[in-house]
Amino acid sequence: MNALSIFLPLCLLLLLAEGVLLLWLALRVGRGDDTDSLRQTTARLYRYATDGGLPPPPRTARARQQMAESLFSLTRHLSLLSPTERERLGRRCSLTYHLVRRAERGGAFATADALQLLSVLPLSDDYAERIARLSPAEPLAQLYRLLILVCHSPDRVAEILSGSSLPAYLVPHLVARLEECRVEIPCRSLFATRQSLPLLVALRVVARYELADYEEEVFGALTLPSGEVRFAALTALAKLGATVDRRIVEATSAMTLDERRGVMRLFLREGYSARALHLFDEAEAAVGSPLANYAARRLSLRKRNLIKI
Amino acid sequence: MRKILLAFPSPIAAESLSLVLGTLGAQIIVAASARAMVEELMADSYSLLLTGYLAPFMCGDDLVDRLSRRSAPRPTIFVISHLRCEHSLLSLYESGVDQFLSFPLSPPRLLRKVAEELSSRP
Amino acid sequence: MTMDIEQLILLTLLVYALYVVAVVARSVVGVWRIGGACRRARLLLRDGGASDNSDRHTAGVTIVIVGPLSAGALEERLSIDYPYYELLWVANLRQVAGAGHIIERYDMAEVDFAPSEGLPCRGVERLYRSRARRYRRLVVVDCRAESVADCYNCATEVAGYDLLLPLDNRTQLSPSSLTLLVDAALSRRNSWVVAFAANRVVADVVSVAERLVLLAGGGGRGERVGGRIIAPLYLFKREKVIAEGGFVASDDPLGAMARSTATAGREVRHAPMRHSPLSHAPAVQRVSGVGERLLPLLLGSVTSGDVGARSLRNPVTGRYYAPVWVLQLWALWLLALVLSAPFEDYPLGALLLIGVVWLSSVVRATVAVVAALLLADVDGGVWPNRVGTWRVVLSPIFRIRDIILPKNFVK
Repeated sequence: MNALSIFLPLCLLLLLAEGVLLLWLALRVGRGDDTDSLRQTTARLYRYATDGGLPPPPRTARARQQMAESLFSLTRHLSLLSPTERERLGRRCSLTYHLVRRAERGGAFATADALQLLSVLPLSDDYAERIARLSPAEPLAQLYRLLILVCHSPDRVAEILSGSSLPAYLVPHLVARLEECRVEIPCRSLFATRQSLPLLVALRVVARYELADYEEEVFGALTLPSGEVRFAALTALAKLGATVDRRIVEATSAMTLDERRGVMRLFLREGYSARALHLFDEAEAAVGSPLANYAARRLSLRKRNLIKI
Repeated sequence: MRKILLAFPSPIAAESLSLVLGTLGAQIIVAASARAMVEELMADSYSLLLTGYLAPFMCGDDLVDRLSRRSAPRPTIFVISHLRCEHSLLSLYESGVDQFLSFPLSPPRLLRKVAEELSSRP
Repeated sequence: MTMDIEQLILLTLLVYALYVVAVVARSVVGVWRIGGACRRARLLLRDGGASDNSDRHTAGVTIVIVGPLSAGALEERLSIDYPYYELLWVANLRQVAGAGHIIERYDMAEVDFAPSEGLPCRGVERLYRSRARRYRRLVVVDCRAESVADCYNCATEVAGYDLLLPLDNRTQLSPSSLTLLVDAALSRRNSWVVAFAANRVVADVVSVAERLVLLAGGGGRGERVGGRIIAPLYLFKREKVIAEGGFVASDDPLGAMARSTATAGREVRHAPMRHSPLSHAPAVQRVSGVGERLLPLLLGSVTSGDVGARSLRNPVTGRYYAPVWVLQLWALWLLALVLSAPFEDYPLGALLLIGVVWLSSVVRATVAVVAALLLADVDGGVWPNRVGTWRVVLSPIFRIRDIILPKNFVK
């Protein structure tokens, strides 16, 4: 066996490997971006909305993905297609079928992607049940799963939220999307569940629309063990302009210094004066905390400035 | 012929709005970015600007003032966005924006507003 | 046991081949992480991107920029598409040409500076806020502190939001940067997360992607990472910065803050005011892994060929980089051996090892191009096309060039 008989095949193998990689790259780069084809798909969907003529069902997975993405973006920007028209489009072009299947079988991001696109397609009961059986770990997938289920059964909001999980930072996103979908959120029922996610949703609604009618329920949420719920309740009370009383100060007594500082800054951002927060100061001064007189010190950073931030 | 300039971060938003407004018979130009939008506005005269970019109105550029100081009448400016917070809206109005609309838009309502605006201009 | 020269060469080649395979493995992990981050970013941006759906009390960001800025540069920094942020510009206004014009243009009024968090900050002369609602997100601090750390501490005192993004004046954020950074910070509950800004003035898009791939893969000991080609963007929680006592004057105060909050192995927590049925014991926070703090995306650009202080530590792990001259010497040693020794007795072994090194170069270059493609998809940036393709074809030659040329030291 001489060097040449070893060297030549090795060289060929290396060149083959390099060639395969280059070919893949060339195809990927040569495809360029998808903006033009997305525009064309959007135009087809617009014609469907105005003339009623369904676009032809996509033949490839990529074309189907593009149609789903165009429909999603179109629905987020224009109230063009009614739920019936979207449902019909999803059924006739097999979008719903393939997206539900991808949500069930895909990895974390594939599931989140499919659920996001499904959130604008009304589902039948069968598909809704299949979505309900999913328990994705990815927070965005959880968000869209909840959105789909609540839009499908808006009379079961409390039940759906009680049986689901969602990180607290995504609750405002969920509430905003439910508002866009015109879903009525039954705050009293959600407060009555005493469970984390329904309470966070209800507190967010109260804060967003400054619903003073629910002030007592919000005070009730201050006594719950969940730190996230208590912080959301404090946020809601700050938005409502509630008087800072013993109940609020008691709720913060279990918090650490950093968290109490965060709460005081929250109230300051909502326009409370140092005098309105005097109970905080007294409680902090009683334990010799560095946060005594914090509100007055923060407000002096805005002295001689009449603007409220 | 009336000229309408569209400028949105999302190409689908720009495409769908140009399809909706295409029925008005005005010339529709789409700018690809905020910078391109400002360049178009300074280079040519438009009747109406529909944009999703907020930054040109709030970064100190004083875009509306600059447009007003030209001899040609400044375009009516509609900002259309997903943003709904009061602070952003008030800042936009303070900087001279004429109208704020939020997504998702109702096409008939948009057409009515735009048609009214175009017909009221000299 | 004595070893003949060919065995020594083979052993050296074997060690080097193992090293490059390890680097390739890290690169593959890196591009995997970048792919995941890009997919998540596309999901977020497709759904309307910046919106006021989040809560400003948790998602508000204070961007801190230290150093002189022109009026045009300030305008660009105010052009970020995010509803809840403020821009704190800290500079010695005496050294800024046109500072008076900027103050007037943004209708700024002087306000008192009264530190309330107890951080060490010296040199603040004046604090300005705008009277106009639309410019209220701009706050100007006239600060004559000698160290950058003092400037950051002053900004932390003044900051109105709970997330801090300190930058230098050469870095410009992309429009969707805050949306993605804040999502990473809130979803991971760490005291900080780090993304990166690319310097395309000194490097092409594939070099930038290669650097990011190595960082994302947890690597960076002997490779050229950090420094000028990419710069870290740290997003801190303001409360954690205060709990640590503020930034400390050093070559890299941001990196030092990141290391002190990450490697403590526990949260610095102060006890509750008093015992209550609602209190909970301070949790022991485990030290997070690389992936949990890292957002491997390019969320900005560095607009200068000079980034200032070179970073000698990996911005994510905090470990020192091995000096590149070690690798250069090693490569020279290998070259000398290969050129001087015959291979009659071990042709197969030698050729296989050389083949591994060749293929590793090709795979690394391909991985870098793939990463550049993924990153371009997210921010609509530059496509690598021909540059990337030639980099893959000639990758072994590029690799030799990168190692040997001395200007590549922590570039």
